[in-house]
Amino acid sequence: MFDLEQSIADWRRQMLAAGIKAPAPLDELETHLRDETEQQIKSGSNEQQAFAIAVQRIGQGHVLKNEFKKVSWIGQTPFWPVMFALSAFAFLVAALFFPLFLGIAFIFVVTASVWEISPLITFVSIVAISVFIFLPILRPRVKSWLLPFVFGLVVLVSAAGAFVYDLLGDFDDIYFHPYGLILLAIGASLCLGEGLAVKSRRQLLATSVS
Amino acid sequence: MYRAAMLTKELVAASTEPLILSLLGEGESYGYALIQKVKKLSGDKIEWTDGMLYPVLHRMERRGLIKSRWAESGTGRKRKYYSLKQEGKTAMAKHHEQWSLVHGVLAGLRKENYV
Repeated sequence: MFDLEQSIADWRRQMLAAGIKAPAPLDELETHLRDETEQQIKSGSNEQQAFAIAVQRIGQGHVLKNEFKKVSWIGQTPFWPVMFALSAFAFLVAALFFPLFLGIAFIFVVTASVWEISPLITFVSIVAISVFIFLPILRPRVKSWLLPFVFGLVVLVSAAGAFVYDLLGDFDDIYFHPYGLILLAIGASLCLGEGLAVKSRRQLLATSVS
Repeated sequence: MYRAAMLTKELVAASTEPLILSLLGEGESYGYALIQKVKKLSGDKIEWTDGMLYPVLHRMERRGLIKSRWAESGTGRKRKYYSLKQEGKTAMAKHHEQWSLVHGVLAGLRKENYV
């Protein structure tokens, strides 16, 4: 014998298992389920058929969970205050470490010939890493994902090009020190990653459930 | 979000928000009623998939366009009712203006093509 209340309780358990944990959306969906079941009964279905149609129409738990997940942070996260706090923290860190960082960069550039590191490559690396350090401050203003992404890509391609050039050139006069490559790779990866992060954030904001 | 043979996915995505805002512009309502209303108004051509409406409503609420409250309906069932906020009314007016513009241009072009 079909028991509607028991079936609804089972359906709730399935939704919970699928990841719809918050009670508010689940209660709302349950109300919808009951409305649709009632409507189907009025249209001539028996209780069991009506419930089955309503469950099918409302959709699977994991699909709904993904849709709710897309909107879960919108408006809930105090975006600007959090970004402001992050920026302040980043600024503090940068203020503490940037002189040290600049000092290291200076030593790198000055002693580049001794260490066999190209001053140009060191400079580009420092810029790439600096951009990343200051990104939390710049982030709220960064509207285009292309900016950091293209910057990272240019740095990466330059690094690869320089490395290949060195490999093809005179091995006794290697100008491209491995440390330089590591610096470039870190800077480029951070910028590429930031570009992708900006893009995904924009996509999330632009997503319309369809 | 809809199952509609005549609408492209892009049009569906673009029209969801203005339709919800306009439906709520007529007065507060709840998810199930919104689905039934849009289905009726479109002559069954626009049929939103049931469960998918709620994430959209939640997103609009988080964006400050609409607000909600739980209340008991006439049948005693607890329902979540949505209504427009001032920001939602402004957004609705903007949507109407933009859609009217597109509609006007399309209608004008169609007229030209048939003359």
